[in-house]
Amino acid sequence: MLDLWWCRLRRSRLLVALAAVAMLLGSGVAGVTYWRKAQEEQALAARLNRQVEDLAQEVAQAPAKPKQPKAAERPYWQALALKKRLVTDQHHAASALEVRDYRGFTRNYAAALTTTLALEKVQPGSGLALTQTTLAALKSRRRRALKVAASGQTLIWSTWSLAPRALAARCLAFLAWAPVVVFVAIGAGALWRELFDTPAWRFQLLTTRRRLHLQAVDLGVGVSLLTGFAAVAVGVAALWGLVLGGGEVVSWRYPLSNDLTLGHQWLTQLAYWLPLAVLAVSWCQLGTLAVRQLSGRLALLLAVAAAAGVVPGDANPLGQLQGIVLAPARTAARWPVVVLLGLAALVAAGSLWRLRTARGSRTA
Amino acid sequence: MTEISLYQMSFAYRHHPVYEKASLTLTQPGVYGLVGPNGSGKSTLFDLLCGLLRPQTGTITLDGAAPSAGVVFNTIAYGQDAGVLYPRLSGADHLRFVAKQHGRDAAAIAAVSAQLDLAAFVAQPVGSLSMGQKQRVAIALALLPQTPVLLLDEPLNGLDPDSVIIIRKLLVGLQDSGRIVLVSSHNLAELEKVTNHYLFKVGTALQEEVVTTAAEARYEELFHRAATE
Repeated sequence: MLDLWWCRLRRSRLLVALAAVAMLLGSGVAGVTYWRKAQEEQALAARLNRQVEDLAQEVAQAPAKPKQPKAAERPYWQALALKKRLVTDQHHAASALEVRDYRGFTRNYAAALTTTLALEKVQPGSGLALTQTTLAALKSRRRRALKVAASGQTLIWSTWSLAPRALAARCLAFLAWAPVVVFVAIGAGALWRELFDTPAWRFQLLTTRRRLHLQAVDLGVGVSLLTGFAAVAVGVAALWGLVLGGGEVVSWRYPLSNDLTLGHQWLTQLAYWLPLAVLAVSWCQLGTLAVRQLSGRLALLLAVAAAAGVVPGDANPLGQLQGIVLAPARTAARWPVVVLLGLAALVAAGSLWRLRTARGSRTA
Repeated sequence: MTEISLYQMSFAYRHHPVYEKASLTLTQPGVYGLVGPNGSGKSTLFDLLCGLLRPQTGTITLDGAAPSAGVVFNTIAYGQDAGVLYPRLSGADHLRFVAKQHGRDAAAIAAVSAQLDLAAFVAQPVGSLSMGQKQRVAIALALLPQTPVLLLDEPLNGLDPDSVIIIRKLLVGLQDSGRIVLVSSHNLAELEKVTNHYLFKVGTALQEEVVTTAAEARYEELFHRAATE
């Protein structure tokens, strides 16, 4: 079987082209993340600075605190003290963010959230007015920020992080997006036609003792191509993370949510990748059965890729499957899995049938 | 002794019948010319014998067994059109690959290469070879396994005179090889120099004949006269 692999793999220009595109894609993901992260940090720093200005003005305009405040006024003076502390915390957080001191930002941001919660306790409504969120969300954010700060990590503010692990995870998630998978599988299949059907398939059928090997090799090489492509893209993205994301510290145990850590997301994405790659390669093979002309085949698979990207979430089986795999605690319909398994069974049956016949150009 | 047997075999492409209840038994080693008009189903017969296509009715057997992948692998070598070769691999790469599948050694590769005079271009990528050179590589791949049955699909098609001479000598040598060799060709003049056993694809049937007169005359009798009748 290794010889069959070797016949397929001896396409150095194709492999170089795929590696180049993968590197470009990984760099693209890193570039977009860098740009969006810069935008979000600017916006956050600006928001924090605005709040600092407003709070500082409020504090400055407050009357002097009497030596013995009345009991009824104590909450007001406690709130004022907390607002003074909040000014400091937020100012330090914004300053740290502006110079990309992410540890400083995380520490001061956690302190600011603690102060805001205390303010909310003393003067209900005022803390939530500042954060424009619910009490439960505020508590959750604070818990997360404290947990992250205590573990020596830095906050991933929204979804954009240049820490190598996080950037690599983002790149893998992008690659696992169904249209990208199908598109890459199409590209590799179109460039490497004999993988699916050409006269060379007939040559292989007659030269191989066990024809099932051919199908396994076809599938294996297709999946290897896709996986190699993903590995290069993710590796390049991680390298860019090392260059650009030096100030960030994110471990595998980083809490992305209450139920999900970064490491868990990685594992589920990897677990999702293999069946997705097998499906995509099988779809390309099924396309060779359904549509004879290469141009028609490409059009069909592009339509599948576009549909997988455009169809709304509830009706998109691939989107649902990805959601189920990446967030298992989420309640979601299971029917997409049934649809995909049914498709996979159809593809497997079609591929086995294809083993029994050969299609390709004829001379007479 | 190897036996190729077709019994009441029918095959059609989407309601277009190619073979209808065709029967044939070949046991004698030697070279047989498979002759018929363009598009009559000569290559289809080869595909049926190799199990690449399945008849709708009837049976095909090779030494009494159905043409499964394993049986075909051990029994038949099919010299296909040169288009089946990988353009980016060399002739030598192809020969090494086939030799490894069939357990043949470097000496066997060398012998086949010498037989078809491949030395000058066997190391070049197939995509850079001429039609005749590619055809010789394709035939070499079919000779390598040393199977009891050899199928050659249009081996003389579009060849330069040098290649025609080489392949003709090869076919003459195969007469006494103890193998059953089926050669499909339109080049009746060349086939006549090699054999007088023919399988004529007449309508949807196969007719086995020994033609002692000119094959072209018999061809005309069978096909052109049938057309006018």
